[in-house]
Amino acid sequence: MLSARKLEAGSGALKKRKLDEKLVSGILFVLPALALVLVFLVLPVIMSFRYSLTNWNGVSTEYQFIGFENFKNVIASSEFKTLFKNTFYLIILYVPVLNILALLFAVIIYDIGKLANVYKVILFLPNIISMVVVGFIWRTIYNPATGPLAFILDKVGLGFLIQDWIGQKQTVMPALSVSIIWFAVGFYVLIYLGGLSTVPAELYEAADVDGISWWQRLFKITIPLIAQSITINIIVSTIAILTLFDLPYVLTQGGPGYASQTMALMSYQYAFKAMSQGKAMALAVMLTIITILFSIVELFFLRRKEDY
Amino acid sequence: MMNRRKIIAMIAALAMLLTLVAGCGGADTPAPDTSSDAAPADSAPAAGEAPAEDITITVALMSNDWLDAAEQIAADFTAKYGIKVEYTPMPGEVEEYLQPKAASGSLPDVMSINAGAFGADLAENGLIIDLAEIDAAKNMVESLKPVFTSSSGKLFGVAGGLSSTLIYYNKAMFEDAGITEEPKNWDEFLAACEKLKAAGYAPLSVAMGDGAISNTAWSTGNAVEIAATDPQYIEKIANGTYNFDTPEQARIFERVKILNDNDYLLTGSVSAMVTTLLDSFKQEKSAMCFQGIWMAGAFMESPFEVGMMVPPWNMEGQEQAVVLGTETGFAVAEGPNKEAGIKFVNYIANEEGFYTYQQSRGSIPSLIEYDESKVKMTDDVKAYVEKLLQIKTTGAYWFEILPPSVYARLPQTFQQVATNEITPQEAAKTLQDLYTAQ
Repeated sequence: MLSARKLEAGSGALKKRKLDEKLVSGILFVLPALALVLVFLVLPVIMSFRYSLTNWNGVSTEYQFIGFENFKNVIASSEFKTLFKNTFYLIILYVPVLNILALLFAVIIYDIGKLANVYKVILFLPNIISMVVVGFIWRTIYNPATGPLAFILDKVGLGFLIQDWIGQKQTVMPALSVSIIWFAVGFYVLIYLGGLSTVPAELYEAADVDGISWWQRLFKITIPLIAQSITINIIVSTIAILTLFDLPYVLTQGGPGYASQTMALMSYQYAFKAMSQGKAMALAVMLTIITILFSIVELFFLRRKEDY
Repeated sequence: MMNRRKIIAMIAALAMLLTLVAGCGGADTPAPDTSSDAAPADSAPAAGEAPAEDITITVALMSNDWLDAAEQIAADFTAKYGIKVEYTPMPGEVEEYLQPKAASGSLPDVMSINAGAFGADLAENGLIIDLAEIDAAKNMVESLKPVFTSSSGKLFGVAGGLSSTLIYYNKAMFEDAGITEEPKNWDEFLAACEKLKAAGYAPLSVAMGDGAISNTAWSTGNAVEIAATDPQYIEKIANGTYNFDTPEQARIFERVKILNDNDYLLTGSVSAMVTTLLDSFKQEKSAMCFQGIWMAGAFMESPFEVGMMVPPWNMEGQEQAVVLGTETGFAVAEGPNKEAGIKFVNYIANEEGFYTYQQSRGSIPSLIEYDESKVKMTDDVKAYVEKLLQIKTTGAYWFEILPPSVYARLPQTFQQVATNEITPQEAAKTLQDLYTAQ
């Protein structure tokens, strides 16, 4: 008969072998996805950093290591301040406005009953269109000579409002923001609707019994209880706006001048128009660092708000 | 011992991983031969070369305004030579499309190419071949060759045509505004704009949202201001000794500012792309449109009568000068299909394909010898070309002479001037700063 100690040792060894097997099979399952991430995400990031330290023009087989010259040149360029300003403008305008709108839509739709699905479809529809197509749609809309917006304004006697909305410094960023919000709001509404579905209905019933107003319900019950959804949406929308390229490229090309130029757009211009891959990568590295920093700061502050 | 399920799962995971690794590998592509000789003249397939019916070439051409003709040319080429063509219309600009492909070693076998620094760079790096000995190049007007020649003497492209910029105008609107003669200089042009504005028409549409403004306002201004007074300017720009920070260069931008400040430009010109511009003119939203001769074919089919005039960009005391340059040409990538690629370039630039191409665009042939009866040019276009060729002073296009660091910023610099963000003098200084920083 086996002693208790031997039994114990035997079962310990068995547990360890099971753990090893689990570990090995777990690693093997994760490896393909990990390989994809390494090859298509991590490696390009490392290569980008490498090229940012060179004077490669994107075509030549030869290039030299020039240290941080590209970073210095990009920061010293006359349009860098504008790039920075535009990028932050979009974060400050787009992220709060988008999230407030999306939250309001979600709260309204959640309570609306019968036509909720219709509204969800209408709001989400732009999000399934390619951003390039969205850019062309809004370019057509904003055309002051032949566009539908100008046509409608003219017909209702507001022709004096017709202007080159995407050709003026004062109006291009709001015009761009409207098109981005139109495209993206549906996605964030869905996230908020998901969050709202986790709020216990009894809380609202109890609140109704106590006779609180709609706004009090929103601020005292809804928002605190969907804090995680808010965190997700704010971080995702921040990352999305920092890295946005397609829509501004098609709609404004960064113009007029550099009035709507973002860091992502400028990186593209350095790479594929000015034939300066080194500068493009330097700007892309800076953008990556800024995006990571923003995400960490937002996560830090928003996570604290999730405790209720 | 592991159970069967776990073993199967591990094998499946390994298989997925191996598939991924196998997909990343591939035959080594041979390094481009930078010392390759010029492409040989047309010849029958060499021994060991795949027969024509087994060859498929990839062709990417900038053909937004002649797409049907491009597809017809590809089909006709296949019918004649048995070589299949995978045709892709190039979206956007040539350099933007080709640059990532050049970097990844996946250039199409035949491609559109502009004269200038980008094509020269591809040639010097052995990515596109020297076309000096092919039939199409031998029949190309000699004066167009320098801008398609790299620093080591490789002819990297065959021109698609002779090109110029001009102002198309709506004859009915001109008549209605009381303009009886085409303006011959800048002051007369401004006077004509004022008459058109008084008659309720938007005088002129330009597109500052993309490279169209560089073709028109910059290149024409350069012809009048620079080419007329400094015949060595092209060499100076190429060897790094040119100075952009001059009153002449500032006046190039000043003209656009004057037009914009006086409301002579169609609303939306600052942000307009070239496609919007064309639609606006054809929809009679503006009386004039500043564009290239490559649009003659499309504009002559407008429902109204269209006139063509030499841009009267010459200010007081200046000679009339025009842009006379190359249309986007054709190049062949170094690679296993280069012989078939050469056949295609000969076909589209020198054989029956050339006439299909020319007829769809109404462009000016850049060939020495060709069948005039097959070339489609309306009487108006012919008359205009005759007028054009009599003007002594000509300038080149921006893409033929400017380094990429400078030309990449031209449209935005024009926009900055038009929106009064910078002065024309500051615009000239901007170009100089970009030029010296490269």
